[in-house]
Amino acid sequence: MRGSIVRGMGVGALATLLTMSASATGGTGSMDSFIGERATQSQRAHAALQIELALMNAGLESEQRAYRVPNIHWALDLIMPPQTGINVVAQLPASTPSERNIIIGAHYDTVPGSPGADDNASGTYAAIELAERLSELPVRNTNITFVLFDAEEDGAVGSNVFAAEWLASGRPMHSMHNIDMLGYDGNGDGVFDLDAPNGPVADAYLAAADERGIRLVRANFSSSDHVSFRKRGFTAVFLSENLTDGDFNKAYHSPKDTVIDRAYMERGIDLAAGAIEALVAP
Amino acid sequence: MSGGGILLLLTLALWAWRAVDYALIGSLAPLGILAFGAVTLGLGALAKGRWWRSAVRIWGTMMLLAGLARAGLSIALAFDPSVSIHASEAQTAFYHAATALHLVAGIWLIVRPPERPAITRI
Ligand SMILES: [Zn+2]
Repeated sequence: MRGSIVRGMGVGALATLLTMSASATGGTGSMDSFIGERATQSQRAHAALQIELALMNAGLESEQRAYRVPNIHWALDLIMPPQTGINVVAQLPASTPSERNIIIGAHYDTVPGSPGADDNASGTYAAIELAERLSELPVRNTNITFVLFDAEEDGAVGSNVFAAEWLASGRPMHSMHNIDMLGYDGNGDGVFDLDAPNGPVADAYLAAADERGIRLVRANFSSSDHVSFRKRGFTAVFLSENLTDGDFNKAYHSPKDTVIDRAYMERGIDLAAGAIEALVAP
Repeated sequence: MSGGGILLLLTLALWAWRAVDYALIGSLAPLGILAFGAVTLGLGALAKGRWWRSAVRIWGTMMLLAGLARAGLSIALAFDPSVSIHASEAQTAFYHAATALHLVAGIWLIVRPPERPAITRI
């Protein structure tokens, strides 16, 4: 059933896990801890807990939102059980009360058989690092919600559930920022792709890229989690590695997706941080 | 009760459960199938002549088609389980038992429809 539940876990157990996670990873959300197949229900549940802990380590109020919803096509409801999964959601409120909301999202699931380093441990890590960086801003005029989506690889189920709930809540949304695949730069040109409608949000990314000497290619992508928001009328942005221009990761959706180009990914995270900072702390 | 009668009730019970489960989370597709089947069987039971057998055969055909779709999905996933992790994880013992029920009940109800239930008119 739709709706949010926080997994029943005692505060003591959570604190122990938190300490274990922090000491095992040497800090908040070590990237390596997110690499590894996250396809089955148990693998995804484990990843959701890791992400929740990393977001809590970053100082954000976070929760697991389990969902149970119909299939992506009604005909599948006649022969299959409902889809279940867990979105991990963390809140970073504005420094003074605000009605303005920005969503930063990335999917954490993988296709079966792939460790999903580039797709999408890189985006998962980016969202968590953005949580850390944006929480350090002294002034923010916007509430920021971080969502790590489940089941993007199975029909963008998690983001559809989240976007539908947001729409039903009637809360305004300034923009949604989806990061999917940020860890591969085969030709070493440092280029990123941006799919964003013309306007202030795209301008913020272009300005941030300019400041950092990054070339940003404007592209169009009709898959990944931003689509779940666009089809409900929200402004949504998609930031990724250079998927166009013949620089596509050959390890995509394969057991070989084991490596993240850290230096390149950090430049992508810095770019996103610059653009979003301009939007929330002008 | 005849074997056909038991299979008819089992399939109706299974679809009633599915209809309620999905209606509660916002999908009316299984309820639509159940409602169509229930109305067809109800009219068949009330009408005179051969209508009852025809109604049971319609429901039997629907169950057979559902069973074939379920089995087809299982066969497709056996060749490529990576198509959908959700569909792969749905391949439980209960899923296969329900597929068998759909196929057996479908064929049985088409070939040997049970007798019309005795209806007491009020
Ligand atoms: Zn992806």
